Amino acid sequence: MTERNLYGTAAVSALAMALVLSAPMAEAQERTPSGTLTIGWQWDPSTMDPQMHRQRYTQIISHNMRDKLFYQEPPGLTPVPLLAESLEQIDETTYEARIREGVLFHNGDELTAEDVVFTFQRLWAEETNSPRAGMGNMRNIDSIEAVDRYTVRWHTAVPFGPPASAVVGLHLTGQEILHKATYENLSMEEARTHPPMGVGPFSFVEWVPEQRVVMDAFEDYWQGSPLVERITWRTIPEEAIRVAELLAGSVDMIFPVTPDFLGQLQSANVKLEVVPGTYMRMVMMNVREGSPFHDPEVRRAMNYAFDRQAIVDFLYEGLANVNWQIPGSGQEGFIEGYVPFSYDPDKARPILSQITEPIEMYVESAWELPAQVVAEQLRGYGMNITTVVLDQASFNARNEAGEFDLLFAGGGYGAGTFLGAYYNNHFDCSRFESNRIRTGFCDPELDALERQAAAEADPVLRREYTDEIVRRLTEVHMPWVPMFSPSDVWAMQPHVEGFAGSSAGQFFNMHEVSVGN
Amino acid sequence: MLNFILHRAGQTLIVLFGVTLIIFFMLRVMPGDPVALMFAEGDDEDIGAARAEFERALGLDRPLYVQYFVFLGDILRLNFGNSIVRGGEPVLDMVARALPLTIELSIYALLIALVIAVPVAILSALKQNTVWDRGGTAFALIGVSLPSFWQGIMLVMFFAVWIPIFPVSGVLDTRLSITRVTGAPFTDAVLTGNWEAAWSVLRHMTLPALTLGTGICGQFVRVLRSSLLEVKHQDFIDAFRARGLSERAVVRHMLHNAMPTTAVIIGLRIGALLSGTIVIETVFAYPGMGYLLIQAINARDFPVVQGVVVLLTAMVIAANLMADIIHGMLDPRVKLSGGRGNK
Amino acid sequence: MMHVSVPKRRGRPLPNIIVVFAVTTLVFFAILAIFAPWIAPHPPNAQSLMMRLRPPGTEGYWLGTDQLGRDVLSRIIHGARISLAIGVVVMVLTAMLGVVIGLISGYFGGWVDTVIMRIVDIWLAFPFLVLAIALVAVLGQGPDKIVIALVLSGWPGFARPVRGEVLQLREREYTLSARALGVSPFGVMFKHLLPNVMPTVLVLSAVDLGYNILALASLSFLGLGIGAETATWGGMLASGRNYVATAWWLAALPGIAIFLVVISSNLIGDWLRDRYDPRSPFRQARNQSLAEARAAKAAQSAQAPTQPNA
Repeated sequence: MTERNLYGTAAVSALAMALVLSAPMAEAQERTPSGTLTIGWQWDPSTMDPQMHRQRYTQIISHNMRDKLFYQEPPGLTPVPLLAESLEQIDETTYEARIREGVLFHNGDELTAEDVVFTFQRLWAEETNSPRAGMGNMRNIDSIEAVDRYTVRWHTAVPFGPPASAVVGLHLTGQEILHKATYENLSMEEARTHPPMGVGPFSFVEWVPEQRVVMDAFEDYWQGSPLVERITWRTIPEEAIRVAELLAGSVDMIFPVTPDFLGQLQSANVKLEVVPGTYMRMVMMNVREGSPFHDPEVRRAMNYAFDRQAIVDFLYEGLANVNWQIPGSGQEGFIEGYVPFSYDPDKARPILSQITEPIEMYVESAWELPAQVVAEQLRGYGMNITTVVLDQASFNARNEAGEFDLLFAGGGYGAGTFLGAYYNNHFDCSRFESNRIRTGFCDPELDALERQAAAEADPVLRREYTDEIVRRLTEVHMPWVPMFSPSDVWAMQPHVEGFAGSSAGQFFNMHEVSVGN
Repeated sequence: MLNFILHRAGQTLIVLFGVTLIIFFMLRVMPGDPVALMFAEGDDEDIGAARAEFERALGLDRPLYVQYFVFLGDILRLNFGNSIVRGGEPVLDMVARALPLTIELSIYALLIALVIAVPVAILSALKQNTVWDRGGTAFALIGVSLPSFWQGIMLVMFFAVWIPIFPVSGVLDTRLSITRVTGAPFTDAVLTGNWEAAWSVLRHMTLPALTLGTGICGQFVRVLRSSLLEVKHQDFIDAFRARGLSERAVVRHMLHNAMPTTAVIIGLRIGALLSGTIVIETVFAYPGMGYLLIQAINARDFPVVQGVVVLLTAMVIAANLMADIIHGMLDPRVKLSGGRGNK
Repeated sequence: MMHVSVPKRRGRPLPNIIVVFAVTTLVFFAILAIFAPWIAPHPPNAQSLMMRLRPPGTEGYWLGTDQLGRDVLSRIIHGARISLAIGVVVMVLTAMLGVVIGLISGYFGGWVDTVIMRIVDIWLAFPFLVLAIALVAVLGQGPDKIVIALVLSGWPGFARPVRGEVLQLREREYTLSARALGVSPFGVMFKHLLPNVMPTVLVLSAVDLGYNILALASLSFLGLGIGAETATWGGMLASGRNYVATAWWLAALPGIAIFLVVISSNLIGDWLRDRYDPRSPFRQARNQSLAEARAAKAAQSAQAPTQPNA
């Protein structure tokens, strides 16, 4: 067990980080923005109201104009204080956050606890009907109140654990803070397109839907003025065109970059920013009766069957991590150095060659290539596998209905947690009630252990329970064959400096980015 | 004439009713639904409850027939609903944004098609059954025989990589902006006298318009050529020749007489033109109606798909009706009757 | 079409050489399709990650390899199979379904005709691709599903022109006398009317073949193809599009194959039209609207008398 992943130490490091982050403010006054940065990326934000969507890309636009209380730092996805200086646990079900003083909105107003309280109350209000209202564990929050101008307090219905895990449960990492005076007077329809007012590094200029979002540097940003004057986010859905535009010099940076283009970009005069991904690919197996994968020995053989390294080396030019356990690296519950399986065709063949019935493996079109390699490797053992490519919606429907034998699927862990939402969504028996069958795996005993671990206040015990869950899932139940996590890749012109990618494909430090010459 | 229009209006209502029925239930039978897709991203402790609540607020938990009648009632009051995926954006706003783009693209493509088709057809008709004629006919077939998305991709690569004279994506240079008047970028730029922006829009639209235009110009060549041939052998043309008119003037007279039929056929091709834009707009990520439709289908954004399909079909029907009426006015030999059938 | 107005109608309006080219091309691809497993140098799905993206001319891989190290030549040869098979099967089924519906509609007239024609209107007003996307999503992937989707969306293209012909033919003397002699409605339809609409059907079919192959490719591009393991031209083209700048052969070669087959079937269609269906320049348009057909008819009947040798 490594101490790095302990919740307790995470909280300590989070507090330490607060001090570090306040440092740049001193030199902030010296910075003057210059130059423009054009980013070509796949998406168009769906709304300017940060509470009416669940899309990461819409949030990226939003959080460049509106800071949150916390965000998650790439290595280990540790929560880092942003607008909150700290989060304290007053008693089992009460948490208190201290808001930074002197932080200014784009219109010059100072950020107060009232804005924070308003943000969350609007989010939970029935009239809002926000799809984000229940994110994290926010359903179990009773109330929120402003204690004084800079202090906010949450009361929860159930214990949320130590501050570092409560940050995620309270969803303080996922809610951009709104300007109360602006938003309390807007109808939902108006808020959809109203120029975002926040305390973020950039202020809104224009949004031409499906074409571009433009934002200008906010020179009074509390962490110091951004270094570029203007950022234009251009919507370029087709990757071939994104790459062409980057190579032609008409955009400065592109995201995302998929393996199809890695070779071409690596040989061109561009910089690549590579960050370990938080989206694990796995082969899900239907563990229910009637499926050839009902037998655990077959699932064990499957875990030995794949040459993951070959996929990573050839298809991803090495820019992906091989996975051998259910949690991905950087995720809570990941056990350092735990590699229970290996690529061992001799162990796989005797069992897999017995399975001769035709089997369809479903995959979304974006992941067709690795899925075909996986299918070909299985065919090598004599299995009769066909890859079937589905659109995202149909794929999702099949996944939820459990209508498959094999599924080349993915699991995102951008929040970094394993216990709670992630476990519930993939493994907990309760998911059957809302018709999310997935692999059909269900073990009440393991669920009980998960609840025990989640409620455990002692970090050492909590870690111990989590390890047990992970090992049992990975080695005993084996509903998945963990495969690999592709890295998040940004490509940019050599003159773009200071950009640091964040895992989960975020753009967190745009105010530190500058364009040379 | 009035009888004809009333009769057609009645038919149109029946067709539109059928379209609402098909698109509504087709979407419900398709696997996947917008809320499930939306909630597949992000972490909720109790995602089942969160989803159910969101669905209830949107009325998606009601029986299907109730949802259908609500949709039908809304459409009758010209309320096309709000997008689920795009945070409640009104469908009409999305259409108002996309439609002008598609219309401008289509007109540009039509012009390109005509510029290619008219000389080819004239050449073919005048030199009937010569090598010129055959070459022209074969040439006309090339555009129809290439997958439009392949043409699009090849053009993109050609102009992006080798000869970068046309921008390969987007609608307008990011440095520029246009004051919104009608929503159609080129028209607005011209109306506001913003010539730099107008030029930029034109350049951005060239590649998709070229792809779309070559796809339809084959049709035009065929139709125009055969119309010209029919005119060519009519008495008055012989009379013109006998009177010693120059060949140029004769051709002008021939065109003048062949154009009405061709114009009507073009009017009637609007449906096909709009269908063609679906794939091409997707290739070029040109945010018109086709692109909007594909995006909405992929996200299973029910209200958007329903609204766009109903509006698109209504437009196609209206365009056909207008073409019929204009044809009737241009060509007095055609009688518009209220009866059914082809007689 | 255009040759109507020529005093003497010629039997071969297009020079033989073009038709010969078109027929040869189709036969060539048909042979590739039929004998694919014996002709193709490699199995179409054999991957070799070590041999990814080799250019044409690589030893053992004449046309290069794709992003999974599969032989492009073998995939094109096997792709001919599925592309042509689907094109032909859809053509035959669409024609059959469309002709039967068109015959019924035109022969019986009255409310039967009204109902069928309204359905045709709805079908034609509906964007074809949306229909196909929805059908594929509902039915799932696979060659059979694609065939169903294309047939279901394509039949009005046959039904309406056939019905238009039948409306005229049913008033002809031989039809009337057959009916007077007590021949059953279906007897009249299939013995007397069908042979007379065959030329139209033939012309429509030839164009339909090319159209189906293009539609199949378009569906592949939109991610609604046959299935990852089945080599299809459309699928190869769609998955090769990300490599246009680095491995042009992936998208270019199957594109050329599609082009050759489609233009051949279009050329044959044109030739057939000139031979059998000289009057109508308008019927060539598939998915033409009802109004279009009507306008065409009106235009024809109006213009017919002015034709010199009519």
